[in-house]
Amino acid sequence: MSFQFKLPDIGEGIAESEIVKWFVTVGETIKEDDSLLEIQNDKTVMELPSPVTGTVSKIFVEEGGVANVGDVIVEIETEGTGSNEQSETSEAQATDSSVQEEVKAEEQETVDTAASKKPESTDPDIRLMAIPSVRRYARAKGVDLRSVTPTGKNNRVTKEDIDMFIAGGSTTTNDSVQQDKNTVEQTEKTERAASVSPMQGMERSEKMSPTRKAIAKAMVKSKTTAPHVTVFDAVDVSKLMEHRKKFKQRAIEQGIKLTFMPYIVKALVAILRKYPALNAYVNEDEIVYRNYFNIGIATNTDHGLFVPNIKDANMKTILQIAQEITEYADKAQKGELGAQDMRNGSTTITNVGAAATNGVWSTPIINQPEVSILGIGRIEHEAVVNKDKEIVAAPIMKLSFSFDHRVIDGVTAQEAINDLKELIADPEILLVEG
Amino acid sequence: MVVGDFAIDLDTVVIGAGPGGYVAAIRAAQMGQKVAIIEKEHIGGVCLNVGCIPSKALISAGHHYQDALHSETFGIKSKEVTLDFSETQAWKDKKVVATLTKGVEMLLKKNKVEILRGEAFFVDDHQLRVIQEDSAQTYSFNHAIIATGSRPIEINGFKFGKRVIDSSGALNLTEVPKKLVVIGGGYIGCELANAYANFGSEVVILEGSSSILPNFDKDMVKYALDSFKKKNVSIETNAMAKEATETENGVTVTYEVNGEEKFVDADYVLVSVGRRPNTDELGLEMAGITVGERGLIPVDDQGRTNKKNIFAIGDIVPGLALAHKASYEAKVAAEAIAGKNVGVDYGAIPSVCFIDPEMASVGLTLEEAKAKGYEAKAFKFPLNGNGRALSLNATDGFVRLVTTKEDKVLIGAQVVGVGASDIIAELTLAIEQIVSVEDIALTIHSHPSLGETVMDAAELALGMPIHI
Repeated sequence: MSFQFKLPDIGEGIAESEIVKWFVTVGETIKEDDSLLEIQNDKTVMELPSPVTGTVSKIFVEEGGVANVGDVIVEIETEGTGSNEQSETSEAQATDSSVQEEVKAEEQETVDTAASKKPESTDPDIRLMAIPSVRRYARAKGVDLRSVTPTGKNNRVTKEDIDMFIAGGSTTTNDSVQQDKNTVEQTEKTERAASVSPMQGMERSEKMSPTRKAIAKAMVKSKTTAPHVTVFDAVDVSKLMEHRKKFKQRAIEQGIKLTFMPYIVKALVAILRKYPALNAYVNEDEIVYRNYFNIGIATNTDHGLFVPNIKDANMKTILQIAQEITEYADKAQKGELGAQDMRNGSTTITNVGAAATNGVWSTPIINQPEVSILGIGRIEHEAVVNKDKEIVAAPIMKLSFSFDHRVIDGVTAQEAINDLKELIADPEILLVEG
Repeated sequence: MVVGDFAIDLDTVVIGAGPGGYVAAIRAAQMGQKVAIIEKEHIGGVCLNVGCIPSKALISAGHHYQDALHSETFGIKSKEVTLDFSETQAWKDKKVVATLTKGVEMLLKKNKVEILRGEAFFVDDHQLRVIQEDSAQTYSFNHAIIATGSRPIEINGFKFGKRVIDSSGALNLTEVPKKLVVIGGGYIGCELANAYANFGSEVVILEGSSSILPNFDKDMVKYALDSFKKKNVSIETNAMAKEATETENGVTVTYEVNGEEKFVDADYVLVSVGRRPNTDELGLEMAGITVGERGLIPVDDQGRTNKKNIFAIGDIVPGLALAHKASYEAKVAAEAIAGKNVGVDYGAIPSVCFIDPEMASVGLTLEEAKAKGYEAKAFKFPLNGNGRALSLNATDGFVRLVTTKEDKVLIGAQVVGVGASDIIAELTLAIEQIVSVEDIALTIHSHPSLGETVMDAAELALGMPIHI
């Protein structure tokens, strides 16, 4: 019997994943539960085990290719009979089949075979998505209207939306449903599309990675969902620096790198506790308050930005948190962060300090569905007026605190930032309240 | 190829010069192709010569005759109104049909389209022969667009002849029949029944199904039934036409209603039960072109047949058999040949029936919308709330908008009444432009005009009608 392995629905609303690595080749045998392949999507990288024992007879999506949930990605010949039933268990539950519609007649057949078991989705009438000239434009540009984010009135796709879509990624989702065509063909298609551009040679198109796409989507979503307000402030961190200096060596002895970040995490826990609105999220017309304190650390990697969060930071010591931050950074670099690591964050710290050449402010974008984010800059010595009205040089950390005005009002935010400053300025207060 | 017969090279060849073919030829020429068009009969095809246009001419003449007879309402009294039908026909042929077909011929020439007279017959998928009465010439081509249209269906027992006529025959009668039997109550049958009724004929429509004009909503057809009743047009529904027997001065039609055989004597019997595609005498099999059910040629969304260089458009492909659909497909096919990535992609095709009052429909009816899964609503504004209709003494009818429930976007419209054939244009545009009733209501419509009814219906849909 041949078993068709379909890309399973791994939850999180993920509709497509990139096939990063096959652990098998055609003709190889594989045992049940052995690693079959590695996939990557906007949330995570994960290994999928084989649900059956057998010989790999066909691989439908090559490494680097993208598959939708429910697409058959590999066929495995199994011994004996009755394994058909197993295929039911890996059948996709929720599929974004709308992108599968409207393929050309001759392509229809190949898609149909794979999609035949799929529940019929309510295909949005393409003629209600754009006016005729825009539909013609989309077709000429090889863009599937359904993959374009509409900005027009009543959710209509405009010509500009199509241009934006092309600028963002030149292939249509139709490409990704051609599961029987290999990646090489897809690449060729992309190149052909690019070759007709009059700007050829002056520009270069590159397909967005799933991570890049996810970041783009998340940023747009955040900016269009939450009315952002950003408060700028600065705090004298003389005492904090002293404190860190004092315990740095102690941390090293335990194999831990102590930075300023764990202090900020602790300080945030304290203000989240005091201002529950900061540890909340919006669910339609409800505000949901979290009783847990998971502090996200925006982590930059070569392959994109990830925000793992320190779980239950309220119950961890500064050194424990420091240790976890290091571990997360390591995992992020290796692309080993799981969805679980990034789920259910309370708020996020973003630190561009190391990259900044001066202590700067920024306007951070909130990591949805959180309602606030704290940006911290590089610590620089600046001239400040002390309480004796003398001008002295002091180490200053710049704070940029963005909050979601749907949930948090200005005064609350300002009070919270005042408290935060106090906590960062004096680790002794942190000891008492953190 | 016959010995000594050298093929003449053509780039794009269009077969048939009707509203599909001539439009395809002109657009192909505009796109830079070297184009030839083959026509075996009339430039302009059925539409311009023996269809849409001449029937509208006769319908107009009928209205003038009726107005001349009956304008007492306006205080206009006439004596001794006479009808010289041969003059009517001469006007139709010379001033309307000839003017228009010559115009089309001129347009073809202006666009440097070569006109080849004769009948086309495929030799293979890159060659065809154009056959004239006494000669034939082979042509090779890169691309072909088949636009051969359709012809009336002949039914058993009703062989077309002197008294048994098709729509072309009915348009070219030299006399007004005292009595006319029309078999088939579709839009062609009804238009001609109505036209001759206006010229004074007694008309009997024999319709096989339970209602005439089955493609229009029942509340629209009601107006047609009322109007026919006043005009000496009787309708037999569920009537199966059996046979026509020509007599010396007329014809006897035998038909059956609920198992009961009936007879009706008439001067002429018009058979208008549908049309069949002209795909049977083209040598399509020689070119290897697949012909599907009912003689229709399956095509992709660019009009391409299974042969990638041969396209088919209009009545010979699946879909509504309407001139304006053929013209639309013509432009797509011509542009596709030019390498443009275009496709047949229309939201709505309007259809019109020129009877009294006119009726027109576009997009979805409420029933169709619901069947398609829309949460749809319909809003009907009566013509008697419109000042222009009143001043035209023509207040029968309505404008109905079918909209989505949520954002009230127009997805269909039905119009019955004076000017319906023109009012439908605005509504079609609105559907294609994805316009909501709010947009329509906020658009100034000139006063007084029949078009105002569209704005009134839109305001009705918004719950704030002024004129109802």
